Amino acid sequence: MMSIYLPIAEISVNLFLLLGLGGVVGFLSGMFGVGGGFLMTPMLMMIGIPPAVAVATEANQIVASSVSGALAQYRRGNVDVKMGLILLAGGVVGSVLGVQLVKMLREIGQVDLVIKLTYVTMLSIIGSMMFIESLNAIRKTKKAGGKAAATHKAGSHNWVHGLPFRMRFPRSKLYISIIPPIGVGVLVGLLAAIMGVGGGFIMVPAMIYLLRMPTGVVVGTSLFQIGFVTILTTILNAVQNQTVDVVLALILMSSAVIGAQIGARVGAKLPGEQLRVLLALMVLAMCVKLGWGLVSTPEELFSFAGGGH
Amino acid sequence: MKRFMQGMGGVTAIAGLLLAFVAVAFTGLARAQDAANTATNTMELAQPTGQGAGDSEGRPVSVRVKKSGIPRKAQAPQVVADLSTHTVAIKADFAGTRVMLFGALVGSREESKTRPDLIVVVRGPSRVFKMHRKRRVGPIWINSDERIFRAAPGYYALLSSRPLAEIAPADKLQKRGIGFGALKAHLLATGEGFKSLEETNEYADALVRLLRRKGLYRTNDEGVRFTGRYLFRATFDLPANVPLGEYEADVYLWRDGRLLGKFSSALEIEKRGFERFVYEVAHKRPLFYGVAAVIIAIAAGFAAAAVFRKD
Repeated sequence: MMSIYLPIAEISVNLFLLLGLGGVVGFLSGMFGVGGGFLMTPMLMMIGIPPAVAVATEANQIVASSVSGALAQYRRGNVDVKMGLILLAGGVVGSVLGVQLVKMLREIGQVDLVIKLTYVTMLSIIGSMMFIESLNAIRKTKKAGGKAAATHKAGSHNWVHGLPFRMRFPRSKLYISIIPPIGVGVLVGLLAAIMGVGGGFIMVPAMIYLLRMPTGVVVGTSLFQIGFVTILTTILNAVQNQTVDVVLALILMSSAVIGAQIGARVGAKLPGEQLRVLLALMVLAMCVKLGWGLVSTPEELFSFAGGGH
Repeated sequence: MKRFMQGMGGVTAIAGLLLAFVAVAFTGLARAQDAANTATNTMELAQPTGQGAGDSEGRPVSVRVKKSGIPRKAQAPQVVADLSTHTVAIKADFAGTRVMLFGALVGSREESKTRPDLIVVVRGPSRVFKMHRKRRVGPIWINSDERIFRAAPGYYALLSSRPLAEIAPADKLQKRGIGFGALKAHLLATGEGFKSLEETNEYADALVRLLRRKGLYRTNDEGVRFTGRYLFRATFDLPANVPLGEYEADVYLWRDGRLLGKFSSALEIEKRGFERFVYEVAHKRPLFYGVAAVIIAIAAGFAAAAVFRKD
């Protein structure tokens, strides 16, 4: 058992446990185009990393996996750069706001509860939405006799298409208002700062169901935006809170970037609808786990503030 | 277990034991002036960090051999002790360590009397503990009440040569600030925001319970062992999550329920090497640190993308 002492988290953790965590989460991140932070951050807290350090370090680690993932996707031409920049503009605003919000919640002493409630709410809505939608899609595909009936009907309109400030996105074959993508970007930036997540698990479904982007560019474009937002969040956290643990981030990165590459390869070979069922199940599982933690009677009623030691 | 025997720790331990032997030998021999001078030097060598502060009652708490070479109470034994190391360096592979305290009884002929009792208390740096109690609000449990203890040791090890109750009555121990009874009394005095004594009690018990579970508060009734008539040693474990800072190890000498003497020794736990470098850059040059962290991450991402670029 080899342990490593983390200089900022100020605890000693098993090295192989961290490498394993990084690898598994990296694999999922490459496969689904999600940052994986919504799995990693709670796990880091569970092994005793102080929440503030877990959140900030995770943002730093997501930089590595999303850059490597985004590059792989970019080479295949799967990034809509124009859409990515619009999402990023919102992300910058959200990230800066989020850091302020965390500061406020810390002062009231309810940051943990707000984080967990946000997790449960977000994950349950998105998880069940994805689950139902992808099951329906699979059923349709089967009826059509195996040949994928293109999921995006050109004529399908929703409220998004009635908004002003429309812009053409040739790569996504869209002509829509920039208000929804900016809104999605702000939300994702907020989540990056508050929850230590890249926000892919919000952004990917939003791109598919709200913006109606073609599935092919969704993963690459979300990784593009996540990369830049987490860069900003890392620097903000390092300057304001000194909670970025470079040693922890390096360990997670080294295994996560490898996992991400393998994940991207495996993901390319598997059918998209099945992948989404998997992702939906994972999201729901996390949601149940977190929700149970809030509802079940705790063994120990007392705790130290900040989860510290 | 083996770590403290390596390197400087081992050297200090051996040198210290030799010094302790010298001290014992000295008490049994003539009390000539030159011998006394040697002994005085020995004391300084054995405890380079200086004597511990006296206790709050102003009792004679630390042993100092006077110029004349005669201890304060000619007939009462005194105690000298040292630690196997005075600094614990936290490096990348730190996973907790064990420190040995060893010492000797000096100052009187002990053959005819019952063996005295020893209590060793190791205290970590004092810090503020903010605590919450969960309450049910609707279906969910939330941290509702926030209470603060202004000053509690981040580490507390209580070792003794036999169960404390057999050494002295609880009130006497508490008056000397020894043991969890005294610790709790201290907690009650430094609590903040409490509505009743009962509530303070509950939180204080919870604090001790939580820190015991983390291995930061510990007790060992057989933690001090005599290795012969005059020599003793005690070992205590510092877990991996041990707080950094200045520690104090106090040895209390008791006989028949009376405190005969006390000896203090200091221990410092600090970061070293790369760990220290990272910590200092993060706190002194945060913008540089943040940008560097991002560059490292991007480089790692590019490197991985390049390595896996096959398709």
